[in-house]
Amino acid sequence: MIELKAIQKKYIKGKQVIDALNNINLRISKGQLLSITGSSGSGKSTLMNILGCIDNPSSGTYYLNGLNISEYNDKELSNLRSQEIGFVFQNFNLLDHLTAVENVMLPLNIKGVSFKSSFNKAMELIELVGLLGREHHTPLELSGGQQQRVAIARSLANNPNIILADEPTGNLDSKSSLAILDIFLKLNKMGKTIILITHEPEIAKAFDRNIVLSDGSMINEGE
Amino acid sequence: MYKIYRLLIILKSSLDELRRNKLRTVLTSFGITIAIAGVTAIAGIMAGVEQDLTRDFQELGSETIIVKPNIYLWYQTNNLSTMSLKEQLALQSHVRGISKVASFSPFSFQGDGISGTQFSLGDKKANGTVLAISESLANVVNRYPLKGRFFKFSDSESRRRVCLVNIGLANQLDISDISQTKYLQLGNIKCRVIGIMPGSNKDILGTSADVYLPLGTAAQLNLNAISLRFAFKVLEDANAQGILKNVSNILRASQKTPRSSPNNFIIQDANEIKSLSKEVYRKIAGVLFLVVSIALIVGGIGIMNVMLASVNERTREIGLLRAIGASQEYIKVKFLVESSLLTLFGGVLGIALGYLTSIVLSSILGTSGQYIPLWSIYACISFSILIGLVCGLGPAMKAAKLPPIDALRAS
Repeated sequence: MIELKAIQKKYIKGKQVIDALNNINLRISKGQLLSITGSSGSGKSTLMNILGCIDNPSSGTYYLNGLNISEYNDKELSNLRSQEIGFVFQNFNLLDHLTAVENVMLPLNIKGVSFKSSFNKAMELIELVGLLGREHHTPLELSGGQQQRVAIARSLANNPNIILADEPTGNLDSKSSLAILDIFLKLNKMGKTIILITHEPEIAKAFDRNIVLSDGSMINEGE
Repeated sequence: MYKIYRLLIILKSSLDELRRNKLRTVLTSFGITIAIAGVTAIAGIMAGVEQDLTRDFQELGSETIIVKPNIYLWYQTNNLSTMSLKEQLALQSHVRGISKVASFSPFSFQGDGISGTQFSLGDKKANGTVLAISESLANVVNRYPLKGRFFKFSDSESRRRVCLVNIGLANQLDISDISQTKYLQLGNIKCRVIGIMPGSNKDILGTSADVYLPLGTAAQLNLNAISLRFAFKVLEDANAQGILKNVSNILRASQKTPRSSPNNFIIQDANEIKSLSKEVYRKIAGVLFLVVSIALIVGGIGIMNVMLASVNERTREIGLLRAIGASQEYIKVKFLVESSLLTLFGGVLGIALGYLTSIVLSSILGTSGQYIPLWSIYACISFSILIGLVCGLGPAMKAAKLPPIDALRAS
């Protein structure tokens, strides 16, 4: 489903060239539960951003569902993000002035789905993540764990095949972390490909496959 | 279908965004409000003036000619030439192809022809203008009493204390019913009201007023206040240009004006005044529109500034929207809709404010102006939206071009 070939990402800071990713070759099949670990600055987030099509590699090729998307233009990439990829961020990235259900409706709004359909779909997802009754609360009225559930519901709005989660439990207590992890496992059972960055070895252990990054290179992979 | 829904959703979310920052929305669009209010007020006043001019000239007829003292010469020489019944007789007897010559004069007890006069009837009081007129004026300017009768030659000849009241003042003093004898206190004299006159109390040729007195009566009250003007009509098939030249020659001869001196009278042709007045008003409006355009540009720059600040404030939101599938085009449209709504809001407020301003100004200026032409409303709304689009384009492009990953990282 996903295939990265010789992906490199370089940042230029003044006269200094920083290799964020070095010759990454990676295949992820449909329905896989993949965790990415590594120390700070190892390139995990950069890899995640490239996988999520919100950042471009400096070189290399990215195949998604057999299509070379490295040459896609903005509109095609936006469509791809809308259809195929759901993002879950460490800091939730919810819009504070919108209610939980309105936040979940955002991807559907962008797609142009009618209000009624998007509301119904968002309510289904709110129920799926166990937040029924809290749909009209704004993020500031929800706990960290609840906010992350809203973010997960939002990532599922367009029914994408791939969920990318960048340290989704990084800001949560252990109880909330376990609950969030449960949701990801449940989603994986529903056929979603889950790619998750984590610092926590327990979470990595619960996943099918774990890759470790160090200084922008994959140093270890075990299934 | 998806595109329409998308636009409606953008519209709703933009409205929500503006509602969320009510004070900022109002303050930002204030510049546009002021500018559009200016445009609307000018358009309203212009329409009123045009309406007044058209009405005046419809009443008077385009063939009416007015001869009045040359007031500009008075400013230069400090010596006001006056015209008398001698000139009236000369015109009547020597100029062919004209109607009966009517005479009239602004009148005030102070004698300056400018000061208003106080009127009262019972406990009701009002201020206004007085015009001393000859009985033949009604036929020349096509203005006849709505009720009662016009002056007769004998009213002037016998210096009768009678008067005609304009409908506006009549309503103000509650004397619209003249079946019973009513006396109007006019300065320190009393006059019997014998008729109610129609139309405005002010016209471009100076043949209207709030109260009319017979010329003879006014002359008896204060002869110094009389400064005669003449009004007559050019008869059909007559050569208007030839008549104007003839009038000029006769008046100069009658006043023994030296060959080298300018006319101490002015001959006004109704048609000429109409086009001249319109041109003057258009030029004034042109200058005002220019000033307003500058206000509009300043307002537009304000909008651009606030939209740029908004892009900076909402960088993370833009990043998020991009991450969950929004294209550059979507972000651009979203910010353009927001800036257009801002200016549209300012424009609509401006139209309302301009309407009120035109009512106030037209009542001060004494012109009609209680309506705003439909074209100006369409123009203001379209222009407001256009300003929003033009001034929002830069910030919208900036927002759209933000790399999603950088936008998401913004603090």
